[in-house]
Amino acid sequence: MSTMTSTSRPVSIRDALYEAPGPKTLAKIRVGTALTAVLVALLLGFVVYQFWATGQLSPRYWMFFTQLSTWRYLLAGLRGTLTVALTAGGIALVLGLALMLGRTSGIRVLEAACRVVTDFFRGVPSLLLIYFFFLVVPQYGIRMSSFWMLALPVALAASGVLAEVFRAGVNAVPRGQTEAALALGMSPFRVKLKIVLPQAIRYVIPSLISQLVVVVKDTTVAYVVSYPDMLQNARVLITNYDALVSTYLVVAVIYILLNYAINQLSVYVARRSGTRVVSRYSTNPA
Amino acid sequence: MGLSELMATYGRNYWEALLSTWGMTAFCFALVMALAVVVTVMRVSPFKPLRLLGDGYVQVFRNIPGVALLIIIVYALPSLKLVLPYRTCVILTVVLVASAFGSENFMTGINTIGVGQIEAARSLGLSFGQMLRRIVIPQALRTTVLPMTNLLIAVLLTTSIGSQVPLDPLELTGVVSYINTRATGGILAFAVSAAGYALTAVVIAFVGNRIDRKVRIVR
Amino acid sequence: MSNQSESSMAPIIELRHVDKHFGDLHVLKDVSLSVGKGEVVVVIGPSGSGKSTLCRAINRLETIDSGEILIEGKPLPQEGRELAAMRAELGMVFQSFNLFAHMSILQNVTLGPVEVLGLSKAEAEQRAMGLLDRVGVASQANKVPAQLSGGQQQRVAIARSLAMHPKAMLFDEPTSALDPEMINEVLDVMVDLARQGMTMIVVTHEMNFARRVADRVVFMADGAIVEEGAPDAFFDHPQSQRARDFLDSIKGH
Repeated sequence: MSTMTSTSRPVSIRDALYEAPGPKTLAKIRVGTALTAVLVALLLGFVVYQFWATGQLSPRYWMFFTQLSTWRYLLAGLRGTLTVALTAGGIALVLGLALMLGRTSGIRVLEAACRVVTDFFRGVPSLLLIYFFFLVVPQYGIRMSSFWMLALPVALAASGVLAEVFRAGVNAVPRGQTEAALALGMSPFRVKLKIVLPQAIRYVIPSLISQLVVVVKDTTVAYVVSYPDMLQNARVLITNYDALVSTYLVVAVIYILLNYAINQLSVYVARRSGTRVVSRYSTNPA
Repeated sequence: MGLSELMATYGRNYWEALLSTWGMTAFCFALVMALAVVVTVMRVSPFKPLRLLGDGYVQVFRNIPGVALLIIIVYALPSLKLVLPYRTCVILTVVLVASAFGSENFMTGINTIGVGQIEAARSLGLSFGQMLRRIVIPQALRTTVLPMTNLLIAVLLTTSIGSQVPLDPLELTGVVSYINTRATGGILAFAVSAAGYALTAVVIAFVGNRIDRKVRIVR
Repeated sequence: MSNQSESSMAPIIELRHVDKHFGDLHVLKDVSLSVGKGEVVVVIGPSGSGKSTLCRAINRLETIDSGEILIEGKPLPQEGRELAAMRAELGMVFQSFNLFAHMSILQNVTLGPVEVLGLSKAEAEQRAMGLLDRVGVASQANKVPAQLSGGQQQRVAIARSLAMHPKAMLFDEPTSALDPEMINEVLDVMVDLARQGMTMIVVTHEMNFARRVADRVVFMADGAIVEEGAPDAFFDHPQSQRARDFLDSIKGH
């Protein structure tokens, strides 16, 4: 928009819902803000009070967080979490890409098969897949380390979603480009490999990053297979220091910050590359 | 163990588990929608403290791993003098996490409306309430059908954290580990549960797509 | 100026010494303007001259820092029912049409009369069909906005405003978002409206329209009204250097 008014228009619809308040409205908003501020403060105050009243604020629950060894142990767990998450994420990338390529291959049988596999992994909880690797696979005499018993099911669960993310990326590449390349005499396979895929991948990078959050979350059931991730190490700290509430809270905050950082990174990359996070596929809370 | 033998012995357990998963999913989703509406109203309210609380809520619960939250609710809350039945803990976890995503979906739905339509409604003389009722809410609802369908599937899958606490009846993931501790159920024991989830998800996605096609707003 | 609120001579729209800032930017500088009943005032000027802001301020889509805006001699209300009632009496047409995307064309036009004026659905639909016929899109009544061309959408937007039986119409660059071949179909509707005696403020870049239809041309630059006058006088003998530069610059196109 060329006119100056565009600078005054609200950036977000959240603000656009309300127009610039008149004097009466302004007074009401001030009163409402004050009241809700009190309510929110009371709510937070009640939470803190409950901690205090139950003795959870006592130093013995918190002092061990001043020791380096505590953090070293938690960070070792975090490293475990990240190692397994990145491994699973890497495998899921390859699998997801393969599933997408199969599904858009033009070969009927392969397309149907890849579609079923994609839908299956999208429609089954990662926990069930973990139990499969933990309880069922050993029954067939296959021995796996706890690392792979965690990484593989998490990767499989993510691959279904990633296949759909990749497909959205391929669909976002203008059809005219494929047609132009085909007209130049390139084979359909080469067109996909050289023209479509590079753009599709660039387009979905932010979505791929935000899917890492789902992978990180899925790894938190590591204790099922006794893999030493952050939550598992936290449990050890809890037995050592008999400090359940404080430890779990600290660990929860670390997870939240980690995932928040990943989400922010995805938003940042999306903004820099001018693409958008394919949010349709990232509404998986698990 | 063959399928017929498995079902003869554990068919009832599977059936109860499936109903348990379906029941929890439906109940959770109803609460998720209600809470998501409340959180969204807070986030778009003109009161800054409520906006901050709503935004904070969403950031915390969309980023916390469900299992970690469940563990906190089950094991840490009793230390704060709050003891809940196991099933309630599971439902609470699912609802807290999913409602954060539900609110994000609503916010996205509201964002697609565009400032221009709001100004047009205003310049016709519509009151704030009329504008919400006739312009904002209908559009937000209709554009969120597909994301909410995906959220419902996600709720279905997230109820599997119920396998981490003792539940009676078990849900669909817990029943697999239950059967495997009594017999070597093999791949079949797993496949029956997996089919229960995957087929339910396919049906939800199908219905969601049909509804979406009917109400989708062409822009 | 004396109190004219009871007088039939009171201008429909009057701005007195209106000032507005966006941060450091002074977008409206001591703007005074008076529009009488049945008058068509066309506001022109370079981008960023504040003409859109002026138009939007009249029904308080933009607030002003100081000065007065009077509608039929009464100050523009600042909020609540009074403001809504005043807006219902002023039609507004936007650059980007802003039709309600989830409603049919007919519903777009009946919404205001039903919700705000309290008309029955049947009455509102009758009125709407009459207006859609008048702007030439009656056959599209059951489609949704996205199925219409830009020109058709803008004509629907005009019908939507007219359905409120407004005392005046505000046009904020109504043809700027249109493909060239669609501009005339919208301008024709506006010319028609002017001929029938509608009071109009039109912010536009369409100089031919201004020359043909305007009773008065207002030239704005840098947030101030630099010059105003009858169209022929303005276009043929602009008084200010700014206006001459502006007219030269658009002749090049």
